[in-house]
Amino acid sequence: MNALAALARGSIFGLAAFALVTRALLACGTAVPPWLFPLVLGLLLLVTARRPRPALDPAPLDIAVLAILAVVLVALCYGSVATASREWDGYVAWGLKARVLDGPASLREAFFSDPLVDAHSRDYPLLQPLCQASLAHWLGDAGGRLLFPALWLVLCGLALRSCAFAGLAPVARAITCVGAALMPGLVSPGGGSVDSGYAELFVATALTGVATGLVTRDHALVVASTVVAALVKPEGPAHAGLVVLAVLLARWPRLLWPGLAIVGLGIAGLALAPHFTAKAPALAFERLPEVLLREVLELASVKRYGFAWVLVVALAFVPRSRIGACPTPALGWLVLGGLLLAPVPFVVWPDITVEHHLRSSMPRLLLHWAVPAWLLGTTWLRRIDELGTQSAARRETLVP
Amino acid sequence: MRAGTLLVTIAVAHTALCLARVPHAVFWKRWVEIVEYRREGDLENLFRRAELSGAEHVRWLQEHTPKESAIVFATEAAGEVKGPLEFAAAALWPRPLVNAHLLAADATSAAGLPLARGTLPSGANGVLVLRGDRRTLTLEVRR
Repeated sequence: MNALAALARGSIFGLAAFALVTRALLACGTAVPPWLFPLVLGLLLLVTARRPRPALDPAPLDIAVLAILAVVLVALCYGSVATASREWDGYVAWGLKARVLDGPASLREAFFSDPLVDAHSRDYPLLQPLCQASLAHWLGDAGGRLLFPALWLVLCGLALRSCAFAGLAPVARAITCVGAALMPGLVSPGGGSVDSGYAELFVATALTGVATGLVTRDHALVVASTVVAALVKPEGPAHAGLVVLAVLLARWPRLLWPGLAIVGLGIAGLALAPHFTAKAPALAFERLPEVLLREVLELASVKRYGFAWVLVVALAFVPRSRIGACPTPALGWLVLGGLLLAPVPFVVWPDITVEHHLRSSMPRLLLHWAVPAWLLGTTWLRRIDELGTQSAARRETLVP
Repeated sequence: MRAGTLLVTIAVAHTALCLARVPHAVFWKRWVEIVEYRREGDLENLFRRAELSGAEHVRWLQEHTPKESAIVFATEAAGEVKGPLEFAAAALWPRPLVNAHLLAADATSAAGLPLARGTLPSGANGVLVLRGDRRTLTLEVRR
């Protein structure tokens, strides 16, 4: 268990370093050699996985958790290698890009550089296809798709790491790890699941890294995970901005109202801009009620998130006097920010079929944040346990 | 019920639910999906599930055009690639799809590759053009 938690941290550093190096190489017009990914990942694993290393004393329940993860891993590995992606975006966008980038990967390929050639989401970040293409170069196409179960293992290791450093008891540890690893939207087949080939798993893993870094007060892990989250999908910079904002708000809560005022002014500016300039984005605010309603209904989807969001929403509404303050305010702000960010694309893209995109995209946008939300909830529950212990101790001292 | 007890119950219920779903959702549904995908073929399975038509034209192109060629595509809305053409682009790689609306009428090559030519089962011969809208694909030739 300790090894898995340590490897998860090292993998995040490896992915962050690979993301930055490949960004630089591609920007310079240089090809990314297929040996770079294993080299960078291996080096960073060696350097960063050692410390700080959790020192869990495995309980029998921990062995049961590992056994459950191993059984599910078999299904996910088989689902990944048995066929190419069985889902729309996994097949037409992410999987295709990984095949285009096989061999020395470069933006000089006609696929990326020639406007005559059709290229699905040409401007999307290439971190995931580059990782997959590098693995495929050495292990074949099916082996390249082992990237996905490997990322899922990293996510499991990060959840485990959060439990270890938060000092959860074996039962709480088991509930937290199994609840994070088996998040229905990740392990059930469908768009966004581990073996769908979508980038949702990559984003969810990176954001889980951020959550783990915040829970364990591992600042380097927060930074590395934020780098990965920023470079996987186009909304990455917004995720990185949320992390910065959440950390600032947790440190200086007084920034909340000035911050909200600035955000409000920004939104008002964007809304009014089309009236003054021809090229400004037109925001479709009239869709907001429909989008928010859909988001609320989606949060309650047991088939996708179990009761993870229900737990967080319940925590938000229970008086603090009963459950204590949030133990990781930055993570609380971050998850709240994720919830507020999810409706934004539907308001910003004026020319989309809202109903279709709400059905296909909203679940995936919320899936990004489901594991961080779950970690927030379970680590907060420990605070309740602490409060209970403290009040019991007080009662003992008061009663002669 | 105390708030703490309720919250712990929600957390336990989440994990119990996740565990209970494993046999059906993680194993059985995935197994059935893979078996169907393999039996039908990738394109046929993806097209059927997405309610698209024209997979047979992409299959024909895979079998009758060299990998070192470019396939011309045309759409109703100039250049907008949605629906079945998205799948065609992935299935036909390494043959890139090149946009008919941006090609010169007498072009014989694009993206450094010759345009794919062939004779359709109907007997029509010329540069092959895959035409698509949001739901269907058809194959035609440009002489």
